[in-house]
Amino acid sequence: MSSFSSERTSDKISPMEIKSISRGAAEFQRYLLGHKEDDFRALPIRSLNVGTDQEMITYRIVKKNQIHRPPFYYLALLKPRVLLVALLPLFFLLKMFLHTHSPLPLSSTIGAALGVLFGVLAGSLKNDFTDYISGLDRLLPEELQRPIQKGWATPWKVLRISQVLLVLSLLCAIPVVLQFPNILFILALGGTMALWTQVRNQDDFKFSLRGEFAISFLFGPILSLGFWNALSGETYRAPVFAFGLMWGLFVHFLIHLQNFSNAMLASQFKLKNTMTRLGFDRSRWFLPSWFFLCLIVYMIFEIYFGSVFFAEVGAALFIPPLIYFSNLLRKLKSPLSSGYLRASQTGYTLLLLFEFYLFARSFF
Amino acid sequence: MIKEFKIYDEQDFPAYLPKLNSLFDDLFTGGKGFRAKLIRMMAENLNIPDKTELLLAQTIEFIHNASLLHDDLIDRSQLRRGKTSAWLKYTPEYAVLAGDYLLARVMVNLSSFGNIQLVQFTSQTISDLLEGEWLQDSIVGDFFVNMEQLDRIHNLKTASLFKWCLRAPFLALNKNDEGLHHLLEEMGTLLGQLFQRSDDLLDYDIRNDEGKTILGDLKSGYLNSFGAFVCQRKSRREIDQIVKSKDLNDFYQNLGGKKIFDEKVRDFDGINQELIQLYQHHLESLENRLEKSEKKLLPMLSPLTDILYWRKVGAR
Repeated sequence: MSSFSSERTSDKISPMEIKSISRGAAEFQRYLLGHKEDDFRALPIRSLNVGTDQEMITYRIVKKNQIHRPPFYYLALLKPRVLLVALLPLFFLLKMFLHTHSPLPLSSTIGAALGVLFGVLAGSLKNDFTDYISGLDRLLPEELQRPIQKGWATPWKVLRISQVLLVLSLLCAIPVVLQFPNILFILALGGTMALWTQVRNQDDFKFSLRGEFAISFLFGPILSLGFWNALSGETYRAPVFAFGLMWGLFVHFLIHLQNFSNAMLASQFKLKNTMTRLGFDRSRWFLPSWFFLCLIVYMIFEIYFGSVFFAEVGAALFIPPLIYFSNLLRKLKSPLSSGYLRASQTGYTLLLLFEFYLFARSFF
Repeated sequence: MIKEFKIYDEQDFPAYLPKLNSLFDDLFTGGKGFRAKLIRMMAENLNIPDKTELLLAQTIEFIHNASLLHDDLIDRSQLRRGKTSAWLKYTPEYAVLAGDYLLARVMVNLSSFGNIQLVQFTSQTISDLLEGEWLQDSIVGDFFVNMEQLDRIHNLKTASLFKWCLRAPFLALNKNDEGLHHLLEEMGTLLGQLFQRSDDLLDYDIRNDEGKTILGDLKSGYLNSFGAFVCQRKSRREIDQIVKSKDLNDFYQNLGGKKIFDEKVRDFDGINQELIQLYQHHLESLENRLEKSEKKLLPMLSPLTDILYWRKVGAR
C-alpha cells in the first residue's frame, strides 16, 4: 500500500509570486536590469524565445532578505580564476625585469598593474552583464550560475561597477602613457581587439573560434608586451613575446575547459566553439592534448630563455596529473555523467597548479 | 467526457505479417492511452475534424509505443503492462523492427496529411526521444547524477511527447504563431517533468496506486529524480550506502529513518508544487494567445497537473 497515498495536498505549500514579462512590455527592461522595488528582487526562472522579439521572461519575485548571500559574495563577482590568469604573467614579468634591470619605474609599474586589474575586472563584469541580457546565463544549470542569476547583485549594478572600473583602468593608464608614449601602439591594438570582442559579443563572438583566439591573444602576447613596455619602455623583446604566446595557450586551455563545462548548453544555443565543433568524444582527448601542447611550449620557452632544469621539473610535475585528468575524461560516458563536473574541476585545478608553479618558479 | 476510440485498425498493418500484428495487439492493449486522450481533449476543444484527430492520436500512440518497445529492450525489462515484454516474447530483433515500423508508419501517415510543419516537428520529437534514451542509458550505474542532469534527459525523453500533444493540434490547424508554440512547449516541458517526477516517486511507493515495482529503478542501476533529490548534499559514501538499499525499510534506515524520508517527500512535493504554479501561471498567459472559441480549452488543461503529479484520478 502506498505510504503517502493520503498526501495529495497541493494547498499545504505556500504559493510563490510569479510574473511573466514579454519584450514588448514597457517594464521589460526595468525587470531585466533589476530595477524592481527596493525591497524585492525579480529572479528569472524561465526564459522563452531567448534573443528574439517574442522573448518572455518569467520571474520569481522574492523579498531581498529572502536571498541567501554568502559573506564574501563579491569575490564570486570578481572571479578569482580570471584575475589569476591576468595577474600571474604580470608578476612573472616583474620578476624577470628585476632580474636584469634596475631601478623599477614605480608610477608606470603600479599604473599598469592597476590598469590591467581594473580593466580585466571591468571586462569580466561587462561579460557577465552581456551574457545575462542575451539570455545565455539565464539558462545555466544551478551549479554554474553566477551572482546575477542568484540575485546577489542586480544586472544594472554589475554594469555600473563595470563602467566605473573601466574609467579607473583608463585613469591608471595615464601615467604609463605619459612616461612611455610608445605603449600607445600596444594599447591601441589591445583596445581595438577588446572593443571588437565586446561589440561582437552580441553575436556570441566569444564563442566563435576567432573569439577564442582573440581572448587568448589579449591575455597572452598583448598583456605581456604591454606590461613589459610599462616596465622598461621597450615595445618588443623576444622572451617577453615568447612568454606571452606560451601564456596565451594556457588561457586558451581555460577557454576550452569553460566551453567543455557548458558544452550541452552551448549545443542547445547552437554555438560554434572548438568544443561544440569537436563534439563530446573528440573533446575528451583534445583537452589533455592541448594542455600537453602548453607544457611542450613551456619547456621550449624554458630551454631557450630560462633553464633546462625548470623545463624538466615542469614536465616531471605536470605529466602525472595530466594523465590523471586524461583518464577522468576518458571514463566519461556522456556530458550528463556525474563525473563530468569532477573532470572539469580537475582541469581547473591542473591549471591552478601550473599557475602556482609558475609563481614559485619566478623567484629563481 | 472524452469518448473512447480504437487507436488503429487492422488494415494499418500488413495482414501478411501475423507476428507483427500479434505483437501490436499485445502492446496496445492494457495501456492507459493518456497521450491519445490528451490529443482528443485538445482536438475536441479546437474543433479539429475527426479524421485529423484520429491521425494525431494515432501518431502520438505509435511514437510512444515504439519508444516503449525500444526502451524495454534497452532496460531489459521483462514486463510491460503486466505482460511479457515484446523483446522476450518475440525476440529482440522483432521488437526493434516493430518499433521502427511504428515510427515509419507515423511518417507515412503524416506526410500523406501534407502539413510540412507537423512532419518537421514530429521528426524533431522522435529525434529528441532517441537522444534522451541514449543519454539515459549513458548514466545507468552512475549514482552521483544531480536533478538538473536528469531534468535534461526527462525533457528530451518524457516531456517531448507532452509538448507534441499540446502543439501538434495547433500545427494541424496551421496555427503557427511562434509565441503560442513557445508557450505550449514550455507547458509541455512542465507537464513532462511533473509526470516523470511523480512516476519516479512510485518507485518509492509514494501515491503508488498502480502497484509499480518498489525500488525497481534503483535496482536497475538508475537513480531517478527523487533518488537524486534525497542524495543531494550527501557524501559519496552516504550515497553508496543509500543506493545499495535492499528494500524500502532499508532505504529509510540508510536515509536516517522514516521521518526524514517523509520530510524529503514533502520537500520534493514542494519544489514540484512550484512547477505546478509555473504551469498555472503559463496557462493564464495562454489565455491571451487563444481565440475566443479556443478558450474552452483552458479549464481542460488546468487539472492536468493534478492528474499527472498528484495522480488525482477524479480530475481525469
